[in-house]
Amino acid sequence: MTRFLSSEFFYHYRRNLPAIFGSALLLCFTLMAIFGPLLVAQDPYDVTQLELMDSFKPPVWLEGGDPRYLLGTDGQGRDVLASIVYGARISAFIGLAAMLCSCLIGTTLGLVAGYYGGLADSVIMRIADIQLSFPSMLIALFLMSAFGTGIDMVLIALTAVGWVVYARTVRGSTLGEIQKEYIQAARVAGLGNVAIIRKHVLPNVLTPLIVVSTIQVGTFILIEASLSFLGVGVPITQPSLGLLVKEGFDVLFSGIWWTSAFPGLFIMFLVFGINLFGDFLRDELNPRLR
Amino acid sequence: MADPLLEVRDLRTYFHTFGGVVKAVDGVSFDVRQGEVVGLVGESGGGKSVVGFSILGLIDPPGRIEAGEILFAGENLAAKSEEEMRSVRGGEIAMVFQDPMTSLNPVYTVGHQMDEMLRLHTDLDRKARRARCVEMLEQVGISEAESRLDAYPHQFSGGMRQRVVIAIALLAGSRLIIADEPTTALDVTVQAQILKLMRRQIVERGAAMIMVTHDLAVISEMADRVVVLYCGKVVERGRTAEIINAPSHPYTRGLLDSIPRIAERRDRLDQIPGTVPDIRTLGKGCSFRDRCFRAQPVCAEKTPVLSPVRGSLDAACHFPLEETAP
Amino acid sequence: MTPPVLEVKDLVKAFPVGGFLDRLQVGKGSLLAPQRQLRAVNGVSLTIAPGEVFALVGESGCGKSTVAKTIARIYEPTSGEIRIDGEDVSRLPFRAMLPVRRKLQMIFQDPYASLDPRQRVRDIVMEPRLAQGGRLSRRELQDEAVALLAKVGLNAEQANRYPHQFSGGQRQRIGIARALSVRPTLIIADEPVSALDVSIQAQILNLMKDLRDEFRLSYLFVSHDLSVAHHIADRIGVMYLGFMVETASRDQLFREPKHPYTRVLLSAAPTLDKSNPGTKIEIRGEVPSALRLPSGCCFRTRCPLAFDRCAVERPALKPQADGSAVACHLHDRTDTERMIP
Repeated sequence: MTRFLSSEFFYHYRRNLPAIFGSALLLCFTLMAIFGPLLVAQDPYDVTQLELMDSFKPPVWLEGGDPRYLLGTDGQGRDVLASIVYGARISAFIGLAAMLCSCLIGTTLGLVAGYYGGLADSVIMRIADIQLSFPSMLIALFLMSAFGTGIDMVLIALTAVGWVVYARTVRGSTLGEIQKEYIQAARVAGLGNVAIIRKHVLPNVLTPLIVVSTIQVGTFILIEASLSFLGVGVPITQPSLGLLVKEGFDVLFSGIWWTSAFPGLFIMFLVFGINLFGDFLRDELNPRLR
Repeated sequence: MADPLLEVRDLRTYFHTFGGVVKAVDGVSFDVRQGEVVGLVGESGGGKSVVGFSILGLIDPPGRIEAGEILFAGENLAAKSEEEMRSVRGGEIAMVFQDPMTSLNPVYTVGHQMDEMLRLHTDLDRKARRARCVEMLEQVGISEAESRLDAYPHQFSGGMRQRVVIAIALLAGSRLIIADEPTTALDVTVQAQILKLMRRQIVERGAAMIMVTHDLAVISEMADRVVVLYCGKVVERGRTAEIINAPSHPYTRGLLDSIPRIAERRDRLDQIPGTVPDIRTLGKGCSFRDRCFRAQPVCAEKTPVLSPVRGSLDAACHFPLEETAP
Repeated sequence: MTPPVLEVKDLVKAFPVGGFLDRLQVGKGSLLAPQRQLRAVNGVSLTIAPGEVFALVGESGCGKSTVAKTIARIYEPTSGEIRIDGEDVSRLPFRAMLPVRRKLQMIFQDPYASLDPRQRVRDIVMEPRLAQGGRLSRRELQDEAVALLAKVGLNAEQANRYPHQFSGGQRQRIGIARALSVRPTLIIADEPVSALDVSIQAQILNLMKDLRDEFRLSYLFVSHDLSVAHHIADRIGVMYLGFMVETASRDQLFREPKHPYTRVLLSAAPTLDKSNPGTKIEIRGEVPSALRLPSGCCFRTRCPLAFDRCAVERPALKPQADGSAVACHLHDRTDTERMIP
C-alpha cells in the first residue's frame, strides 16, 4: 500500500481534481449498491411492506413529506430511495456483465483479426464497420423486439453492440505489437501462433482495454436505461434505473416529478463519475498522451 | 582573434519530473566562432541535445533554463521572450534535426517552403526568389532542381530531404546552424555527401555550426573543436586533432578506445566498465569516478572544475592524462 | 574439412506489395494489374564454417536483415536453399523446425523492443529452452536462468526483474542469454550493437567474442558499420540492393576491396584514423527502388566505372584467385587490362 501511495500513478491522481471527484462518486455508488439494502428500511419489491396509503408522498423537504421516505414514494407507496438502491444494483450488474461479455468476445475477435490478418481480418472488421454504421440503440432495439425482453436478452443485445469497440482497440494494439522484435524472438524460440498470442500479445494489449472497459460500463448503463425506458428492456419485476424513470414518467405531468427525476439524476451522476475516472485512466495509461 | 559568434556561459537546464530534478545540462560553457564547426559529443544522457534545444529556446515544461547566459552576437538569448525567439529560430539560427520531416511541412511543396523563407528575409520579387531557390537546390546537390521545387517532401528520399532542410537554412542566411545528429539516420555513402556539403557551405559563408552527435568519427572529420559532455557537464574541450590523438580526460579516452578501428586490429576493445549513473542521484564529486580507471578518494570528495591541461585542452579532472598516456 | 554450419544457396525473398484493391486499374487491358513485388533478396549465397564469424554489411534497404530473418524463418523464403548442418530447412513446416531451432538462435537489434515488457527476465531467457518441450520445476528453471545470466555478466538477483529496470546494454545481454539457452551452434545477430552507445557497444562486442570462444559459436553478424564488422568478423559479405556483390576474408576485403561499391563504402565511412587521408571516392545519387530493379548490374546506376555490358548482363558472383568472390564484370576476365585502376 505504501508502494502504491508513493507511485507515479498516485502522484498524478492526487493532482487531478476531476479524477478524485469521479472516483469519489463511484465509490459512493458502489458502497450504496453493496450495502444499500441494509440501510433503507423498505424492500420495495416485498408487497407486504408496501402501504398504499403512502402513495405519491413528495420528498421530505416539501409540504406533505414523510420522514420515512426521504425522496418520496411512487404510486404503490414504494420508497423512491429504496427503489433507486435496488435499481442501481440491477443497472450495475447489467453494465458490468455486458462489459465482461463484450470484452471477452471483442478481444478474441480483435486478436484474431490483428494477428492473422488476411481474410479473417477483412471479414471481422467489415462486420464491425457495418455495425458501427447503425446507431447502437437501433441495433439493440431491433434485437430486443425480435427476440424478446429480459435481463439475459438485454445482455445479449448489449454484447452485440459493444464487442466492436473492443475488437477495434485490440486489433489496433495487436498490429502495433506484432511489429516488435520480441514477437519475432518468440517465433525464433519456436513458439506457435496460439502460444505467442496467449503469452505475448494478449498481456501487452490489455492496458488500453482497462480504459475502454471503464467507459463501456457507463455506456452500457445508459443504453440499458434507454431500452428499459422504451419498454423493451428489463421486466417490471426487476426494475433497473431506466425502468424507474419510465414508470415515473407516466405521472410526471401531473406534478409528481420526483419518481422519475431522482432515478434520472442518479444515472447521470453515475455515468458522469465513470467517465471522469475513465478519462483520467486514459490519460495516465496512454503513453502517447503523456 | 575575432569575438565569438556564440558564447554559452554556465548554462543550466533542469527538468522537474516525478522522480526528482534531472540536471540535464549542469553548468556548460563553450563558445563558437565564425566559420567554425564545434562538435558536442557524448553518449545518450550526456545532455548534448538539450544544449542545442536550450540555445533555440525550445525547452518545454517540465524543463526550464535555470541559470546561465547564451550570448549570440552580443545578445542574451536566454533572456528573450518566446515571441522574440520565434524570429531568431529559422532566421539567424537554424536547426537541422535527425529526422528531416520534423522541419519540413508535409502539406506544402518544397518550393513553397523555400520561397516562404525568402519572402520573410529578403525583398526579392517572385521570379528572383524562384531563381534563388533553384540555385540553392543545385548548390546542395539536388539535380533537376527546377522540377523538384514543385515536389512534396514525401517524394524525396531521406538524404534529399536533409539536403532541402540545409538549403532552407542557408537561404535564410542563418549565421549559426545547430545540427542534431543530422546524418545518423542516413547511409554512409549519403552521410559522406551531406557532411562534405555542410562543411563547405559553413566555411564559404563564414557561418558557424554546432554539431551534436554521438559519433566521434564524424566529429573527427567535421569539427574544428570538440566539447565532450558527460552527465550534463563538460568534461573536456579543445581542438579536435588534439582530443582525438591524445585526450586528457579518462572518459574521452575511454570513448575513443571503445571504438573499433580498421587500421589496428585489437582482439578485445577497451571498454568503459559499468553504465551511466542515474543523473537524479548524483552527489558531489566527479560523476565519472565509478567508471574511471584513475579514480582516487579525492574524486568522490571534490567536484573537478574545467581547467587548462595542455595545448588547447581543458578538462574537468583531478588526474588528467599526460600526452603519452600509460 | 568440416561441413559448414550454415549454407545458403540462391536465397530469394520477395514481399508482395499492396492488397487486392490496389491492383485494380482502368484502361490498361486487364482490369487487374500484376502483383507488385518488393525484391528484397535476389539470389544470395553464403556459407559459414563452425566457429566462424561471417558479417553481412551494406546500407539500409540492401536486404541484409531480410537475409538474416529469412534464415531464422521469421520470413518464409520465396526460393533457394538454407542448409543447417547439411539439412535443407527452407521448406520445413513449423513443427519440424523445432529441433532446428535448438541449433540456431537470434539476437535482435532493438534492446527495447526485443524483450516482452510483461515478462520477467527469468522467463524471457528461458523461453527458447521451454519451447523445446520437457518439464522444468520452478527451482530448475530459476537455476538455469541464473546460470545463463551469469554467462552474460548479470547477477542472480536480476532474474526476477522486468526489462524496463535495465539499461540498453543490459537488455542486450538478456537477449544474448536468451539465444544461448538452447546451446545453439549458430547465432544470427541482426545489428546487435547499432542501438547502443559506443562504450556499451564495446562491452557487448567483447562479450560476443568471449562467448564465441567459450561455446565455439558461429555468428552471422549483420551490421551497417564497417569498423564493427572489421572488429568481429572472419569473413565479410557486402550486399547492395538485395545482391551479394563481394565476399572475402576480412583482411582481403579491407586491404584490397574489389567491387566498386565496396570501395565506395570503405572510403565513405568516417574514421578516426589519420592514416586514411580524406580521399573520398565521389558517388552519385542514391540507391534505386527494390520495386524496380535496374537491368544488368544492380550498382551500374551509381558506379563510376560502369560500361555498356553492365546494363545488359547481370554479373554473377565469381570466385577469384585469392579466395574472395566478386560480382562485377570488371573482374570477370583473367587478363588484367580491365582491372580497376
